[in-house]
Amino acid sequence: MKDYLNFNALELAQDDQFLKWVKHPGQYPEIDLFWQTWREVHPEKEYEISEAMNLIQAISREGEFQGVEKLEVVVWEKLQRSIDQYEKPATDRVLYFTPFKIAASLLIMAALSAGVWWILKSSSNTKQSPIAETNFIKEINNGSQPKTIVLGDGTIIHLEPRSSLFYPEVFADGYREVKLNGEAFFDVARDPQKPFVVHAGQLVTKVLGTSFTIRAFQDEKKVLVKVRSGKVSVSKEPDGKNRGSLGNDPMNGVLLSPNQQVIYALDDARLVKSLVENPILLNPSPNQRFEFKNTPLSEVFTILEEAYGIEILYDKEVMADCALNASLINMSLFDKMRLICKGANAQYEILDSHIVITGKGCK
Amino acid sequence: MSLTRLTINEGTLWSSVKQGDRAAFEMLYKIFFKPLYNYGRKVCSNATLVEDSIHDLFLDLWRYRENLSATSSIKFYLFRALRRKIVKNGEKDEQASVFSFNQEDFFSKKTVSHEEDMIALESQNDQVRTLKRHLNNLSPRQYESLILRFYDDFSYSEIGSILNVNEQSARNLVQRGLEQLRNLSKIVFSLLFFVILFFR
Repeated sequence: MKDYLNFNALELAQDDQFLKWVKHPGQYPEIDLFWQTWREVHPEKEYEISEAMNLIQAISREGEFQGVEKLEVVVWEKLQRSIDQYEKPATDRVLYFTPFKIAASLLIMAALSAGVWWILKSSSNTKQSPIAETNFIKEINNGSQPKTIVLGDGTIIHLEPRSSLFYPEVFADGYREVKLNGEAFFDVARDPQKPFVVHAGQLVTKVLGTSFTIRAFQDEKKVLVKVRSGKVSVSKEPDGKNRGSLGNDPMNGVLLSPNQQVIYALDDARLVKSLVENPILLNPSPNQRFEFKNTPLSEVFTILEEAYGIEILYDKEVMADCALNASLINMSLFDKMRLICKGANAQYEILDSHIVITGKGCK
Repeated sequence: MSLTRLTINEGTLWSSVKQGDRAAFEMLYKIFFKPLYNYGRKVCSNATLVEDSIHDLFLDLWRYRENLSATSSIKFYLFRALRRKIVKNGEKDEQASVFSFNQEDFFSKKTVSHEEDMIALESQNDQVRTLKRHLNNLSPRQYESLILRFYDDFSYSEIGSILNVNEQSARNLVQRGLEQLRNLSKIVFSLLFFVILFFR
């Protein structure tokens, strides 16, 4: 322990422990106790103590600037525009084409394609595209029941009605690539050396070994990817020039964990991440009873977070006095949340891929 | 509901941003805009420059997020980056004008005006009020180091890194700032005392 008796006001103000006591009372109970006792035992240091406290308070109570909230929104909107502009610069420019520019670009395109045709023609004998080498299989489900397909690598696919799957007889090196129209559940065999890639709608879904559902019907104008286990990376189909970075396009990608989903609406071309409609247990076991007897809410939330792999955000101080007496067996996650919130006088909402609890506590 | 009080794991938030999670990015922005703006405005009198620098800081963060390294404190990372941005953007502005750029001048402090602060003032005793007034009379660097230490809770090594000096210099800055602040307020008190004696 430092010899605080020799400390003057300036030295006290610069001390980490002293600062914690003055600025954050209640946050460090042990430090609070030490200084409260010390102050009582050493009345001769009262002048130095209060001067040090005044110094700290004078600086730490420098106020905040007015209108910060409004500015926060203004700058955020500007930031969104800058990011959008940065991420798709090509599409905006098309709008400004004048007839002259169109004529000029048509001419250039014609010249280029003539050149490309000529080059392709001369080299077609020596080089073949890799797609032509492998045989592709097209599986179509015209029935009313899901159809199960087992691929060569052990991956199992349940193809829903009105859906089709396009895949190579033998996977090439590097990636295991398939193309889906419609809806299917994938249980992918694990192979870290060869990521499994699904092209569906305008999305690329890339995994190592997991299970997930993709729904991409052409008439629905949106693509949905739901994850049951493992990690799944979803991104927009890269445009022509980035073809090499298959599913690695970080600008337009999201990473999904179990019980999370992403919806891609074709209209606004944005990936929106959220929770699946009915989250399931990550490792269902008969021991998971979800029976609580006077259990602090923080403990209940931790158990649920682990069971479903979903982050629950709440104010720990406010909920500190809440405890739960209930048995939540055979209930969906959201039914459980409804019951807990009813008991704790709180509300829950789903924000992005988290559950956020708000309430006034249980005092 | 204030987001900062929620139990958010900084590491998770940071790595989600790194992986391109736009919701996490928005959350990061919402948590840190206010502290960053308050800091920026206190050390730089040009409000537009502060706004633009915060905008540029977050734009860069998103554009180059793949290269983000792990950080023990997001707040520290952002504060240091913001200060650099303000200096850089300020230099650019200055180059366009005739005057040469002087960082010391440029980082002119701006204490919060008293109307903006009425409520806080009422609850404070006389000495705190006097001290607060004298914050205006410190050098910009002293003022900034005190704000970083006592308002924003940074450690001395973090303060050094933000101000581009070593840890010992940061300690000295804080030490001298406090000394000056105390002496200034003492002079006023003794002057007052003298005046009262004189006119009795």
